Amino acid sequence: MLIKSIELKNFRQFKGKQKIIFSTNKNDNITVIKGENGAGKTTLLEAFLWCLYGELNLPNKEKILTEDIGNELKPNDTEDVFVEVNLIHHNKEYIMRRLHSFMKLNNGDLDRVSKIEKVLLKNPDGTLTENIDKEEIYNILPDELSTYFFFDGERIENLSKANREGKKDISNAVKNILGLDILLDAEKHLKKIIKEFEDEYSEDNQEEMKQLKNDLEDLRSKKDNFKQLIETKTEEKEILNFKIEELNEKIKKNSSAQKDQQLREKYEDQIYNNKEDILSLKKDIEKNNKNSFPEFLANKLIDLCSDKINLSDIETKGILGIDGSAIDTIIKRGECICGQKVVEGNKNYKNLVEQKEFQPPASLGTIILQFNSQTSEVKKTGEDFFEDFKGKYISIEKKRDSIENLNKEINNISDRLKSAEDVKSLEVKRETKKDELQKIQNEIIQYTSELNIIESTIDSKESELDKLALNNNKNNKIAIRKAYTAELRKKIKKYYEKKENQIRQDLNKQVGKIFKQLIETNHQIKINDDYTFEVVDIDGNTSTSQGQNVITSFAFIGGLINLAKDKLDDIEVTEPYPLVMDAPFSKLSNAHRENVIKLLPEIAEQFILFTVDSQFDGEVEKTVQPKIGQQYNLKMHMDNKKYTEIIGG
Amino acid sequence: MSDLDIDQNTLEKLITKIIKLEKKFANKRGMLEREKRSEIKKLIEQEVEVNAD
Repeated sequence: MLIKSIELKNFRQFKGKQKIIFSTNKNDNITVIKGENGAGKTTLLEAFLWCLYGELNLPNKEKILTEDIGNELKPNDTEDVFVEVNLIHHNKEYIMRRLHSFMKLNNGDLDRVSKIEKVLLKNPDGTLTENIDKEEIYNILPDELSTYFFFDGERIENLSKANREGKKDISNAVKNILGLDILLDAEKHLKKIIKEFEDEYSEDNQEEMKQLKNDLEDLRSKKDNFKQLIETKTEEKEILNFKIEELNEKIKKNSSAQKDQQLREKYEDQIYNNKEDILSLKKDIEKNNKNSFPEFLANKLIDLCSDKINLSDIETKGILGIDGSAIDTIIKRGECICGQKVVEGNKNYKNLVEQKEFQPPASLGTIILQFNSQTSEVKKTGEDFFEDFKGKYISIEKKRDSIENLNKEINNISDRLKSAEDVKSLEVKRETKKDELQKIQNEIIQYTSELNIIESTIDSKESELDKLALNNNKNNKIAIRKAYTAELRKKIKKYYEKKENQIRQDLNKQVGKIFKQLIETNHQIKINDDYTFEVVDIDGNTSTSQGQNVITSFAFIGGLINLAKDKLDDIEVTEPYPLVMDAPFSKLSNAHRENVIKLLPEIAEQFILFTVDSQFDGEVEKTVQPKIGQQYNLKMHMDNKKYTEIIGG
Repeated sequence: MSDLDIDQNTLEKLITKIIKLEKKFANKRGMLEREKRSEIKKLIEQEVEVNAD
C-alpha cells in the first residue's frame, strides 16, 4: 500500500478543503511536511488514522469541525468535515472517505447529524466503483498493523525502552507484521475444538466416562486458574524487575553523589583540623610573646646600636675590661703590672697615655663592645623568637588559605548534591523490591510445579477417556477426530515456536545491520529473548545514552520492515508499505539525523516525514534533497481566526 | 492415544488448509469465533473422514 494523497475539509485546524499529494516515485520517495509546533503535524498524522479506522487519538476528540467554522454557523446550519485518503494497493487505486456532518443547535451546541464511511475503487478509465466492502480497507492495512507504519516521536522513543511497554510493542509487531498471530489463533481455535469433540462423546451409561469428564472439567478449571495466577505473577515480576532496573539506574546516577558526600565529609574534617591547628599555633605565639618578646625588642635596639657604631674599629684598639682610671693608677705608681718602669716622657708612658684614649671613659666603643658581648644571648633569643613567630605566622596563613579553598569546594559539592537523591534510601528500596521479587519467583515456581502436575493428570485422564471412547463404536469416529486435532495443535504450537525463534534471529541480524549503518561508534545492538534491546559497547557494557537508545528504535523499525519484505513462505503477507513519522528527530544529534534520513527512505517504499524546520533545515535537508519528491509547509494563521494552511506541493 | 495411527500426510494437508483459513479469518473482522471454529472443525471432520475411510 502506498498513500497517493490526503484531502481534508474543516478537519480540526485545517480550514476549508486542503490537499497533500505524496510522492509515490521510487527514486524520490520522500514527502516532507514542515511545520512549527502547534501547526498541525500530529493532527495530520491522526487524520490518516481517523479516515482509515475512525479513531482519533487527540485531545478534545469530539471537536473535529474547525472551531471558526463551527462558531460562524447559525442555528440549523450544517457543515461537513471529511478526510479522504487515496491509496494504491496491488496496482489498484482506492479512495477511502470518512465524512461527518454537523448541525448548529439553538443552544449553540454542535450536533453530529450524519456520518458516512466509503471505500471507492478507481477504475483505469477514471470512473469510480462504489459499494466496495469497507472491510476491504482492513485487508489493505489492518489497523493492528498500521501502528507499525505510523509513528510519532514519543512512540519511537518508547520502543527502545527496555520496559514492558516497549517489549510488548516489539513482540506484538513481530507477531502481527510477520503473521505469527495467525498461528496463535489457529492454536487457540484447535484447543477449543478438542473440548468440543470431547463434549460430543456419548456416555451411554458408562459411569467411568462420566466421572472422567467431570474430573477433566475440574482439572481444566484448576489449570486455567493456575495459568492465570502464573500470568499475573509474571506480570508482577516484570514490573518489579523494571522498578529494580530503574533503581539501579538511579543508584548508578547518584553514586557520584555518594562520592561527593564522602568528599564533603573529608573536606569538613580537614577544615576542623586546620582550625584546631591555627588555635594551637596562636597559643604558641602568645606563649612565646610572654617569654621572649622583650628580648626581641632588645635585639632590635642592639641591632640599631651596632648599625650606628663602627665596632670593627673599636674592637682592634681598645682593651676590654679596662678603663682610663686604671691607666692613671699605673702611671701614678710609675710601674706597670708587668714590672716595666713608667716615667713621664719614656716610651712606656707614651704608650699608656695613647691607650687611655681608646679606653672608657675617653672611648665609649669599648663599653659598647662590652655591652655587645654581654647581650649576645639576648640577641639570639630575640632572633629565635622572630624565626619562630615567622614560621608559625606563615603556617597560620597557609591553613587559612586552605580553609577558604575547602569551603569553596564544599559549596560546589553542595550545589551538585542539591539535585541528587539519597543513595542509601535508594538501596534500601532496591533491597525491599528484591525481596518482593524473590517471593514472587518462589510463588511462580510453586504454581508452575502444581500446573505441571495438573497438566499431566489431564493428559492421562484424556488418554483414559479416549481409550474408553475408542471401545465404543459410536464414539470411535469422534475419538479419531479429536486425536488428529490434538496432534494438529501440538504441531502448530511447535511450528509457531520454530518460526518465532527464526524470526527473532533474523530480526536480530537485520536490526544489527541497520544499527551499524546508523551509529558511528563501536556499539552493538542485542535483542534479548524477551524482545528487550540492549546497546553494548566493545567491552560488553550496556550503554545508557539516550541518543543511542532512540537509534535502536529506528534500527528496529527498519529491521522489521526489511524482514517483512522477505517472504516467509506460507504465513507471510508482503506488500510495500509507507513509513509515516511525526517529529522523529527530536532526541537525535545532527549526525544521527543525517544517517536516519539517509537510511529510512531506502528501507520503506514511501517515506512521509513531519518535522519542524529546526530539525530538518541545513545538512539533514541537503543529505536527502535529491530524494524529496514533494514538500509542504504548514503555515499557522494566528490572526483573529486561527487555522493552518497547507502550502507547497 | 498411542494405539491410534495418525497419518502424517493428512496432518500436513490439514495444517496448510487451517493456516489458509486463519488468513481468511484475519481479514473478516465481523466473523464470530464460533463460526471460525465451526469451519475448522468441518475441515478436520472431512479430512479425517477421508483418512478413516
